[in-house]
Amino acid sequence: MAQIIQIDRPVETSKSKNVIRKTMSICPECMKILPADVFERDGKVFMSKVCPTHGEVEELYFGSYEMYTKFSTYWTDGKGALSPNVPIDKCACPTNCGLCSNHLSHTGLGNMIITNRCDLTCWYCFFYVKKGLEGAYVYEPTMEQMTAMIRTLRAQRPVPGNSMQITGGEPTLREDLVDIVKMIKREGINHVQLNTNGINIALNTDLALKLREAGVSNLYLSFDGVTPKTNPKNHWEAPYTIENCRKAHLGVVLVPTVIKSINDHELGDILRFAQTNIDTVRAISYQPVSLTGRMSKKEREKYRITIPDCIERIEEQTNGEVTKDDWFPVPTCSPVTHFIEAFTKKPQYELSIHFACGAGTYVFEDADTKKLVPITKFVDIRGLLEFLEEKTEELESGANRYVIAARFLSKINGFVNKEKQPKGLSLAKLLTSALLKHDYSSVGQFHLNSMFLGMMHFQDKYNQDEERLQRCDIHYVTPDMRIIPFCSFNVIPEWYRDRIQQKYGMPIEEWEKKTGEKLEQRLYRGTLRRNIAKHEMNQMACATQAAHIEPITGT
Amino acid sequence: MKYVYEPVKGLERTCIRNISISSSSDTVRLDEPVDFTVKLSVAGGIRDAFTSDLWEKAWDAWDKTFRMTYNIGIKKVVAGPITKDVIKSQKFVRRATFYWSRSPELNPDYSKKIWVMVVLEGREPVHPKSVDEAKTTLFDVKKTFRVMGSDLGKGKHALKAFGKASWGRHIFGEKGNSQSVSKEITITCK
Ligand code: SF4
Ligand code: SF4
Repeated sequence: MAQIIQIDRPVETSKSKNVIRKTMSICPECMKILPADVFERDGKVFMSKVCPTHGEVEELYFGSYEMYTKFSTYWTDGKGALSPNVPIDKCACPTNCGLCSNHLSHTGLGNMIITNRCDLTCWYCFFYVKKGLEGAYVYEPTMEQMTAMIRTLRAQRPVPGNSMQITGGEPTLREDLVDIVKMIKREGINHVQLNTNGINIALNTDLALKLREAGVSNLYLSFDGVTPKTNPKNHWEAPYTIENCRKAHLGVVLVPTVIKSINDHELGDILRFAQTNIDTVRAISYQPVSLTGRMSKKEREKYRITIPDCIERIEEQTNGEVTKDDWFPVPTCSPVTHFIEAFTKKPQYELSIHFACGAGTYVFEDADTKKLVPITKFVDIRGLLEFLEEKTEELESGANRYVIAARFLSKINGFVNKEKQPKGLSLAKLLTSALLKHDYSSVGQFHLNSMFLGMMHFQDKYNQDEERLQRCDIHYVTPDMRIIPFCSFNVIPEWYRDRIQQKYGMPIEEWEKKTGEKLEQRLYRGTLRRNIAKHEMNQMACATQAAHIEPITGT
Repeated sequence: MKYVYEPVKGLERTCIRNISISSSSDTVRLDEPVDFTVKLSVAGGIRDAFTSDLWEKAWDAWDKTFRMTYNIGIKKVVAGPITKDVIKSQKFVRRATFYWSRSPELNPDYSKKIWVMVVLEGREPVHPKSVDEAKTTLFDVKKTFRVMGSDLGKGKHALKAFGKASWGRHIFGEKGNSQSVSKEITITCK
């Protein structure tokens, strides 16, 4: 690393605070590594840190202390990666990514950027390559480089990487996208997700089918709202994208970046839109905004929204159909994983991220009332998890696995309220197949008239928490054969994203010469918007200029 | 999995100590409630061994949670050690989770530091500031049981508290349990 890494000693910042825990973070100005307090005030959780040069930064960390407390009880550390790409002794996150020997989660989802070109030119985004900027480069790894990246991911132990997201820029701009998908599948990756703005899939009716046949499991479709004002990116195109996916039997995950005062009033409407497309939309992944770039405290307060705030808005905006009690933090899955590990005596794929990083729930559509029924309404989740923890302990203490299986079978129905269970679903049967027989084919049944609602709050320089980062399981694979946690890669792009892509990219002129294409040639010209009234277009322009925020996900 | 079974010496000497029962009143009417407070501590073996060294050893072997299952209650005494009729009891779990802490206070040289969080029954998380606080949180129990006089019946009653603590097999030792009963107290129900 070229930079000099500075680490500061603890400063007394917490005299009058109700400090919940202490951690390490960075100064958003100079990236110095600083001690930080996570503390409670007025029912919310904040983070504060003091840089000797740039002063104190205080930031909202989690919008509800009550939810923070509930979520924290699910904290467990993962198995980590026993085959580190950066072997080190001492831990100075985020300077040694990665994965270094101290990382605590194996890859849950690997991201591979296949291009930094885009067919949109969102004014606020500086992720995609644009002409006229000094040193601008096109980053498009070769098939050999990509194969090597996937092999690096597959070499991870104890759990080889098994789930990939192809991302960009806009990945559909690459002519060899279908071949890339085929290569990833050939290398043994099970789940392939395509992160896209969906425009090319809306325009090319057969692309969705080609992608599904090549092995794409689902689209990860940017979708920020239900009006042109809140979703200027693909409001007009998304319905066509979904329709083409429907015809191709390709699932879609809607991905709204949630910004307070911009689109946080539409979280319920996004859910309703998804519900009307429940045959194709498998999930919504709400992403509270990550505030990149320099922002004043006032600006941050205007736009900052956290996981509990989004969950509360969803409760309000669905008239209590999906309540805050229906959500669980991601590591809630761990007791299930540990049970399977104790049962099979083999390390299993585990979602061991920090409890403050993400949350989720399942909702089912009631066939008669068309209301959404969260899984918590018919499954005693806590009771089930406690039962699994108890059985895991018994297995690890030498109990006979057949005896445990018999006890499991005799008890499992007690956790499911059959009266309230949606028609056509037998959760007890499904859990028995998945947990005891490791037959996941029936899990598909889960998706019948159901959706997964997920949330992940990517970090930024203001709220960065090394306890979260060290447990990150959303990673990037890079051509220098490293695997870098998402919130290092994007939060400190000058150390990771930009540096690596510049190294492996080429100047625009060279790329144009090599390909015989002009960079602007593939820009989207609004074909699907041609008949839209002018005033509606103007509305869109207003919305895009209202927020000075860069989305962190690329597309 | 990376299992290196290395039992900690003396784990079998874990016992329940200082089990006691007290009541909010010596007499109670049939239609009145009375509160009984039961206290106990798990001592010796596992309590002595429960230090950050043990947490790190367990954590390194992917043995990252330790559950203490308690079964605590009140029984009527028939004669001497013979008891019958559980009047009230509660079974619950306290779970210790070992995790890598980045607290600069716990870990001033920024190396690896495995610390513990305890989740109490009722899912209340506790972040202990010291090893002693972790032990107290996990191993010292105080429970109050509210009983109606009518549940005891008219007359003079001798009562004892009972407590059982059990744990599973871990990288640092075998599964085990310990149980004990308190001295008796008497209460008159009119
Ligand atoms: S974030 Fe992970 S990979 Fe990066 S330095 Fe920290 S422990 Fe290592
Ligand atoms: S990507 Fe960021 S928010 Fe998500 S798990 Fe990793 S550290 Fe947490």
